[in-house]
Amino acid sequence: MQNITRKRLFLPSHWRPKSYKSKLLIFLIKLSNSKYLYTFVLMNKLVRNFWQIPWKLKQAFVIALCFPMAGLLLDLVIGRNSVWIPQFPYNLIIFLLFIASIGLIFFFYKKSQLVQFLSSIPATISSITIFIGVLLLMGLIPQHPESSPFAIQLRLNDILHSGIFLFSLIYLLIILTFTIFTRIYPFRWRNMGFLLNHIGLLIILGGATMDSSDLYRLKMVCGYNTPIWYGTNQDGKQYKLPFAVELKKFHIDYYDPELVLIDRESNEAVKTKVKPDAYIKKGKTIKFDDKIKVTIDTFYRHAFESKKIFLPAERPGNTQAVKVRVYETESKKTVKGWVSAGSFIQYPHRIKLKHYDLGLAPPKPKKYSSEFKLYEPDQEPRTITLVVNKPVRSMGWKLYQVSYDTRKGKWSEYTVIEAVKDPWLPLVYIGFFMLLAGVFLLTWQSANWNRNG
Amino acid sequence: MQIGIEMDNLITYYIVAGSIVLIGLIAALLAFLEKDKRVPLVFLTIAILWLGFYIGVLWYKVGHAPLRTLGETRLWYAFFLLFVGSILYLRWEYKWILIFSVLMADLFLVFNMIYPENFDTALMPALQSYWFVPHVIVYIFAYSMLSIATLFSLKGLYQMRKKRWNNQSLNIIDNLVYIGFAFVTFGIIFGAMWAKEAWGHYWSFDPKETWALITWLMYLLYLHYRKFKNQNDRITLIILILAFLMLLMCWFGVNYLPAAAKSIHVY
Ligand code: HEM
Repeated sequence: MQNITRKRLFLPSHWRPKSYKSKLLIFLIKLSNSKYLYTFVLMNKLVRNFWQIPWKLKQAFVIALCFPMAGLLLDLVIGRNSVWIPQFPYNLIIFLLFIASIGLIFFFYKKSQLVQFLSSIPATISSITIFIGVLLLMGLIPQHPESSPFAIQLRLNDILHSGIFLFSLIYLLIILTFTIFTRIYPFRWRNMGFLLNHIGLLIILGGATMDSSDLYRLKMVCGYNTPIWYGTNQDGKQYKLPFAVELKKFHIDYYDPELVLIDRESNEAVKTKVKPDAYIKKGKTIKFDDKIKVTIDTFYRHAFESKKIFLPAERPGNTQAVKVRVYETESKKTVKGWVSAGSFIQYPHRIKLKHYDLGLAPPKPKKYSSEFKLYEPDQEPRTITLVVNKPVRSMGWKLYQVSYDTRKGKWSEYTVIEAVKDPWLPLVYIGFFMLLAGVFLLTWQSANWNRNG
Repeated sequence: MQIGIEMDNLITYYIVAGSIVLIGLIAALLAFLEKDKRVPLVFLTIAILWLGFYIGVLWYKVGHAPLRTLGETRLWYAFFLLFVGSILYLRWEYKWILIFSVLMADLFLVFNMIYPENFDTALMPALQSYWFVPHVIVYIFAYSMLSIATLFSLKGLYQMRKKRWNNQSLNIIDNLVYIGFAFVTFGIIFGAMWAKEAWGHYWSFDPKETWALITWLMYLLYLHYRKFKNQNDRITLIILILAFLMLLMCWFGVNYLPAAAKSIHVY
């Protein structure tokens, strides 16, 4: 009752009728606008204040929405990166303080309505929904500097680093942490699944958030025989590394090329109704929709053109080349000639047919690797090979094969690798395994296969 | 080594897929006519084994798990749909679930017949990893479970409209979602660990990852909403349907989004 002011004659919109009877009364008051009826309603407690405890789903959603809104406001007022996550050890201290303070609040005010709300299902539902909402924005709006002007103005093109994201994450974490405390003590085995899931998720989210400021991902562009001991992060800042690498060999394997029909106008590959197996093999015949028959006479993986014919040669700028005989059912003519995809110094070669050109698609890389000499302080240099999907460790860093000069391919003069330092990885992985164990237990326990008929 | 689906292999595919589609339809028809439930199950078992055998041969021929292209994942999807449909039929004798899963599986197989260019065998370097098979199979299994749960919820909404709704169906939906959710969780975490090996970081909020997280959270929302005292069955079912829409978005939709133009997941 104490929240109700008597100044206004109309009913504030956050008052909710408790029953149909009161709904009718409110309708009458609105009609009559009578002071007496109005006081009657108040005196008889026929309406309830929206913010009167206990809070349910609607209140939960209003509260949940405040968080991203506050974040957005902060970003708009203070500017981009108004909220940022400090580096170790401050991020850890903040995280531990966060958990400790929620633990203390929980311990001392367990019975309070607010704490009960913060570990309630309505709060959970609202926090997850709001977080999904923020992720939807992220999934729908292009997240790069060339996004739409409107998105850029509201800073919605980098939601990951915005207050909107951080604040909704914080709300989620608050609810999650309160929830965990409700079941942690006294410990019961039947809560095991619950604890593994919820603590696992808390660890993952906390770990990943701390990671976002302590993670180093440094690109290193390595030319042959030049030791390199620094890397550049996404913002172009250079960092020194405790080791050095020197590129010795770069190796790449390609898939064999594929024959394609090319539309002369759009210069794009034509989709045939039935895709032939167009991979090259000597002696093979390939049919495109029964209209064009291609027989392969010669196939060189490394070749150079010389006076309209190709000769095998393996040196910078070589290309794959295929000699074919093409029979067109429409014109009943056979054409002979060479096709090749070209390279950085050779033009592509195509054969002109009635409607299309026959050409060779650029080869797709199958596997590439770089061989380095790795220098670590006080150690003999060692040789390492970096392949995609097979990183190599050195002094707390992991080295990844990332890229090469795709234009020059096999003759690339450099290779791009990434040095990654991820100090929170073990913590995040612990969270992963807890979550995996947790969902397993959850499914195991709750699959009541016997109920239902 | 690369042997694509050669022309004569394509004919093999037509024969194999065609016969499976036919066997599936017969099984569905028999279930529809309420024959002894063992009869459709025998047919389905044959179809499943036949498709499994075909996938095995394909695996052997292309030299890696046939999971790289949409066309190939559809084979697995059909396989698991038939499998899950049969198990649920065996357990609960819901004939319409069997009919739906057969029809969906058939749809996938027929789709591949119409668009055989989906079988492209080049496997790019980032995909050449031992994480590949567990990651994708776990996801496909989850998708089969969750798509069947979605069918149940669509049916539920229809029943509500006809005033024939009985919230007993929520039990089976719960079971399906729990299993599906567990598998999605495994899939997403395997994916994260794989990303760590391949790209250097376990999570980069690439559009595909963002949508995968949205999907996961939608099912998490479902699980918690089911614990809500004043829950409304209609909203429960709608959450499930929305969750499945997010899943579809994550699976195919992402490739068409402007937001994903720079995604590393779009091949
Ligand atoms: C965003 C993070 C999460 C929040 C805020 C959250 C919150 C909650 C809350 C408030 C409850 C009610 C506890 C009760 O009934 O006393 C709950 C229950 C539950 N949560 Fe979560 N949860 C989260 C994540 C998860 C995850 C990741 C899982 C599973 C993988 C999960 C599974 C469950 C289950 C199974 C229950 C019911 C436990 C029971 O009634 O025995 N939750 N959660």
